[in-house]
Amino acid sequence: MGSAWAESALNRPKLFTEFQKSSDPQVLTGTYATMGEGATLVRAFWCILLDPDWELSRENQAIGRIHRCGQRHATTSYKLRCKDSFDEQVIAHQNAGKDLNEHAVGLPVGEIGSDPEELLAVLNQFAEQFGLDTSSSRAVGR
Amino acid sequence: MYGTESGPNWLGYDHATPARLRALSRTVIIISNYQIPKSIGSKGLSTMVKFDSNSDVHVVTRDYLALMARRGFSIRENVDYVLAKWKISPGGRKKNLLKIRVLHVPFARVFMDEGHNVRRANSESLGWLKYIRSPVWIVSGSSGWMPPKKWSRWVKVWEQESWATDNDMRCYTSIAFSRIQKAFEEAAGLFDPATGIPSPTCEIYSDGYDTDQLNARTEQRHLGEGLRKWSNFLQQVMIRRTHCDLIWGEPLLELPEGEMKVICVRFCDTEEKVYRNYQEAVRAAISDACRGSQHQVLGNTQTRQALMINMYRRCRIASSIPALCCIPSFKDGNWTRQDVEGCRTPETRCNSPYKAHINNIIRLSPKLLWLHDFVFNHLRSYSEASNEKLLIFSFSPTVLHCIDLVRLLLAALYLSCTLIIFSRDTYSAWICGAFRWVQLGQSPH
Repeated sequence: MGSAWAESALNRPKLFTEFQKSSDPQVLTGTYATMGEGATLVRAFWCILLDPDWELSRENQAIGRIHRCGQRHATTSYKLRCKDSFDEQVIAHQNAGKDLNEHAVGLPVGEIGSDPEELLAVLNQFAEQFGLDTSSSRAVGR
Repeated sequence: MYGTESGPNWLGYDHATPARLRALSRTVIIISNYQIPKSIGSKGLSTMVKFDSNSDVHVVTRDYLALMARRGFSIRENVDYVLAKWKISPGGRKKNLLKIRVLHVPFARVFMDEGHNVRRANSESLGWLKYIRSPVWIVSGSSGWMPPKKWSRWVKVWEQESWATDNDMRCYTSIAFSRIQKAFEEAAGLFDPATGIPSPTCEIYSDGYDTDQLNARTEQRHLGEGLRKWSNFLQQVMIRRTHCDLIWGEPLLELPEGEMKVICVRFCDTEEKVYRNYQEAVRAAISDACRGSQHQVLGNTQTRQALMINMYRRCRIASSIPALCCIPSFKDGNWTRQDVEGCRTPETRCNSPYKAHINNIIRLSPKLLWLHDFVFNHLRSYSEASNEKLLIFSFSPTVLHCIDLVRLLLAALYLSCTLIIFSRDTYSAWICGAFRWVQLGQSPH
């Protein structure tokens, strides 16, 4: 078991390399700040988030440590939530920003097909993001 | 760089062209808020930039900026990439001087990676970036990042994922994604809210003299132009990095399936009682702090804010490990993050204020019990599952420190057991007893 949170920033890359290359450590613990970004840890198949972060993006980043290029196995991430506790308030804060996020971030490239109408729909979505009114355009397009 | 031998790269020039002749020499600075990510760090760049004897491309990091801080230092003209940490030196005039010198460099583009770290419109990093004359691109690989509308003029986001190999990912940096986004934006910029967008398949019956039809035809041509440009760019960039994958209709590269499960655990009666008592105490303390009734005691506003943040943090930690609420050093707030982080080595861990409470910590924590079951069932034996590894995240070092302490206690016992499933009832008897036994039973959750 390795503790990335307890290592200095200088020693952390060495620990990550060790985790990737050797069989020990088998479990790596770390905070979202120390291990959630910039590390490739695709030797792990599981990821457990013990508590929610205020920012959903940080959780996504943490999950992205194992579900990224180089990963050859199916991965499973677990988010632990405790009912009737402060966790619920953090989740509520996350959900408040979720809708805005879905509106703002564009679709991944893989979801864009060859269908012109689909492409137009994507472009429409993008135009809306930039505050352009595309309601009339849809009518003309049809 | 990205260019192939037969044609220009995505930056628009041939690799063979000397840097001093390129319009884009010393063009890119990559600024990261905390540290240079590996994806675009030295290893990533070494795959991007072809280092050979004839190359004029240099990668300069922190030393480069340190040189810039010296009087009379001029920017080397043959530098294409400058990797820099934004927070290079701690505080003071030197730091400002360094930043000001960076701001005056006529970079053609400035990229800020890990952009999801910027969350506030009035953050320091964003404030400095606004003074940079060059176009600034903020890139984030996180889909959960929400740029405020006021930034949308110059903030570009693209989701980084779906690469089959490490090499693909490194070559395909966030810079490339920014470029995709720019082409996308150019295409989207052709939308005219007044006239709308004619469908590319729409037939226009006109003799060419009707004004409306001419306008519609113009719009159609612009749209087609934008789409074609975007499509060409995608093909230019992407096909180069894949062998047989298609762009349109088919996923470019596929990652193995990633599943995400939300596990809800509950407090038992004892845990809930401990937690509720603590929660009430925290609420009362926060109310006092808000009313300013402790103003004389707590000092200035900043101190009160720090106190409230501390209380919120402890509340979050307590939701993971409610047993900590019973420990005076935690309950009274006589602990700091530094105290916990100070317990880094096995020797100093012995001095941890929580060590004497390990039994309670795991017995009173539904999350730790679940984690214990998970670890024991999935990583039961090193020999059987040497390739199966696990990451554990938490926002707080305190929680992880408790996990470490519990692990130290249980590590020796794991070796002699074949299968143990804990429940709240069995754990305390098991952990306190001098005997070791095996129980097959129900999972606690």
